Amino acid sequence: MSTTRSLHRSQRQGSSREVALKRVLGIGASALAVVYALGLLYLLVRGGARLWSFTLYPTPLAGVDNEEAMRFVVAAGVFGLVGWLALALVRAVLARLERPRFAAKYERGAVALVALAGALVARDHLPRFLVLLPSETKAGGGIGPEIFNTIYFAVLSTAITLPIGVGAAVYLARFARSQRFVGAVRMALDTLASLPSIVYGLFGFLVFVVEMKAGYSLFAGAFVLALLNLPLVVGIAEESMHAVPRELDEASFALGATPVQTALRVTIPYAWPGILSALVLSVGRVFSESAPLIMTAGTTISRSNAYSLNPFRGGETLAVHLWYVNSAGLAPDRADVSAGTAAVLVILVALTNLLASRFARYGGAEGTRTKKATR
Amino acid sequence: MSNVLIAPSVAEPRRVPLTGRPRPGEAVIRGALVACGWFVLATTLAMLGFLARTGIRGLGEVGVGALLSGDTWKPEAGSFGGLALIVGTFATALGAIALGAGPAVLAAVWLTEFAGESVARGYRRVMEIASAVPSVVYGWLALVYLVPIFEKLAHAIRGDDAPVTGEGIAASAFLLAVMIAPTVLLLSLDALSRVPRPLRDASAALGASPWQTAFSVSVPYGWRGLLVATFFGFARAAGETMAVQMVIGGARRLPRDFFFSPTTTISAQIVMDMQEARPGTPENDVLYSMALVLLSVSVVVVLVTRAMARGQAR
Amino acid sequence: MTRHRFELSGAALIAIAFMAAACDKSAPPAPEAPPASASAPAEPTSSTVSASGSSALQPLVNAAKEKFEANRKGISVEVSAGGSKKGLSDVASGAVQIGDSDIFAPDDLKAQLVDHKVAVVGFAAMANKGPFNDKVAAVSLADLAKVFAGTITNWKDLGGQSQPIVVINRAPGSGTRSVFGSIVLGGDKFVESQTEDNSGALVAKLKQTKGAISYLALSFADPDLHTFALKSDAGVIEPGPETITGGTYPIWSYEHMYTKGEPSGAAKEFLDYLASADFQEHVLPTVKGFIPVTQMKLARE
Repeated sequence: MSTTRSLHRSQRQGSSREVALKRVLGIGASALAVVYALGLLYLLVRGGARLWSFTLYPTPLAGVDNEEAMRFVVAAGVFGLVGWLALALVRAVLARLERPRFAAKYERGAVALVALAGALVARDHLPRFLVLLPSETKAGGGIGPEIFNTIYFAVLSTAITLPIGVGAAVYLARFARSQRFVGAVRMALDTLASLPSIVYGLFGFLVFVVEMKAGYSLFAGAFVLALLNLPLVVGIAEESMHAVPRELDEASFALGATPVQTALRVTIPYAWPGILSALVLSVGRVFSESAPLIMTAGTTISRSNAYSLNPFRGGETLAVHLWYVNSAGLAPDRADVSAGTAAVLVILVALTNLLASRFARYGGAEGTRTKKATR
Repeated sequence: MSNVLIAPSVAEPRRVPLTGRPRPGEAVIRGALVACGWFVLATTLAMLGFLARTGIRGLGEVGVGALLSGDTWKPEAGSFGGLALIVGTFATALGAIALGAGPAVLAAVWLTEFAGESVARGYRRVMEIASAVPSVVYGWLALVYLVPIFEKLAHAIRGDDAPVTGEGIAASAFLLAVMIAPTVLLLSLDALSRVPRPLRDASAALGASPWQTAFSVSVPYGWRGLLVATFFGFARAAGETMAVQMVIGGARRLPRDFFFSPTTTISAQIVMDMQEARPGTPENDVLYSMALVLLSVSVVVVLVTRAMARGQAR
Repeated sequence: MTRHRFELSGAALIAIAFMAAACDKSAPPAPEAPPASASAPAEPTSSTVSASGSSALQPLVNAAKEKFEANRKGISVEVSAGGSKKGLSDVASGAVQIGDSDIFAPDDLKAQLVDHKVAVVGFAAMANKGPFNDKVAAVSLADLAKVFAGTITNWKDLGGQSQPIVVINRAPGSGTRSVFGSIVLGGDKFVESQTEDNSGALVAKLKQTKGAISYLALSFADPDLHTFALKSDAGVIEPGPETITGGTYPIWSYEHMYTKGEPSGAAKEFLDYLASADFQEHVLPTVKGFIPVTQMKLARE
């Protein structure tokens, strides 16, 4: 591959006009990327001040149910991230020095240890912004419940997308007999993929808030998000199932396995990295959607049930909060609150992106897959 | 009906020559898998059905002509002119494409044809994150930094005494362009990476310079894919809600100054009006009618592009 | 190798970014007095009063909330703004216990909602400050109507320098818009223009936009904004408690808190506190712009 590339590269540069044009194009394209990179960096730095100010004095509890558990989880997440960044640095340094890196289990263990230790020692000294309740009118509000809701939404909607998405993908890839039905399902998925997200919001509002009179609820929001993500998950999962070598399936049949056994024990495990990367991408969309959530889960954070696991209460995510503080909030420090919220969102989105591409890369490594599939 | 579709437990000879005998209980799993397929189909139909029912009721109450031609949207006063909303939606989305798609496609060409591999990888990573950043983050940045700039710009262009606030179609289109450019770029990269290497090599062997290869071979070969990328960008821009809502200004009429006066879009108006309109009233139904307009546009655009994408894949 | 270099530089960049950010606030924050609700962690489950609606009323509700939460440990009050009409539809649908509103409930909701009038608030036209309207201290009702209907479009027609007037409206769900519209324009006859979703955002926009004018509750009066008095045959009427209670300044309304049926539990306690003599006589007058209901010399339906 590299040889063909060099053949193409080794050709003459072209006329001086072309070289100049090429340079202009290169400068323009680089400028575009630099603008985005600087923008992302700016978001991190601008909001970083709020995210990174660990407190010497413990932040008092607001007296909400589950608050301490929530702090523990957030602390573990923050310190896990720190440990992971440190690990990346150590790895890079070792690679520079051309020393072998540590075994994967030590690396993982060290990161887990940092996360746990941080959560045990420093959970009351976390940046206040991450653990406090938001404030409608006064400065100094936090985004604790928004972080909780965002993650809870991701869990709820994945709990719906995972079985239905993978089930539909298995069916389409392995069991479907009726071409007409398959065509209809594909058409439905195409249509779902093309709907603007506001339409999902209207649908959720109509079904859950109007027809079922259930009011704004996390469940309604999660259901709508799950629908929104179905085309993505089914598409990628089906594609990665088609990539499973025919021989593997046939070997399984030859050993006397039924089609269902083969699908469950061979096809799905083999395609699992692809499915995971689809799920992670769909979680990224949960983080960033706002319009359908405003219409199905509302914008209220209630103090008493801010960290409640009851899915039939309303609540806002980080993205919704960012819109809310700017268009309806009266807090005097809304610029800082927005910046902090935006920084958290960018970090979350960058993490999901990294994870998704890592899983997708797994797909290339035959070893892990076959080992899993043939166990 | 479902009996026909739950595949018989005898293995299909064409695809699978020999399998084990089905175990008891497997029919349940098969049934569950089929149910997943049915679920997708049923929810899609239910969704379209619900929207169409309410939307058509709204059309009946207001009248199609009035909805599509009236230029003032004032549901509380019984005035349902959707033209301002439709114009706002199309103007912002088309503006976004005009501003954002060109640079994105050109950058994709540069990346696939001229840039080194490590540069391309880093570039891609930045753009992947940028395309995943929530739209409200873009909206907030635009509200805080872009709108004041556009106010000054508008005064510079239209004169110091023009009644402009900086919010409006120009600011929204620029915001959307910034928002969709990473998406268009990534899709264009995919399209250009599907250009077969032998084609490029043949071109090089014939003595073409890299520039000639890029613009006489790769781009013409992948133009369909580039167009698809642009169309997807358009669909995303037309459907965007919260980011636009923050900078469009929220005046429910055709803009007085097309570029710099506040107006509104379909989705921004839906999300604002939904908060007050009580279900069952014409004010509420007509929002669903507007959603139908938006929906049919984006369904048509996406289905056409998908058909084109499949055409290219073959 | 190049990949490692990329990773290294990326990690270093992120580390630097974070350190730079961390330095901004490296000084330890002063220990805060724990909030009132936290000093009583013994209360097993705290009950919540939820309210939404008018942003004009919000400063008063927040003042009441602070005093109330300090006295009644374990009860917390949650208020969100979003416009009077949203407050009314939220309370009618049961999404919140109290709906804040600047306007009376519409006829179709009147039967199920119970009205609690908690205060009176005045409204006034407010504008971006600049040399163009320095000399314009008062405007007549008729001229105000023309400005907001879009027929007067330049400050020079009001006696200022030449500068176009940029009208900014509140969103149609706003009670401020309804009240101002019905008293000044005789209905919602505003020219369609830029809208803002709440009073706080509007204040910021007014400060930012040259030549802008809008209308706000007096509780949002700001030294950086130009607040207009009314010009009438009897002279200039400054908006204020005396002119409103005396009946000379006409742009005011009751602030309502609606409940669905008679209130009970924590919501009832909160409303009782708002109606108490202690609150109405001692706390309310300290909040800018609000007037006790009891002081009104004339009633309005």
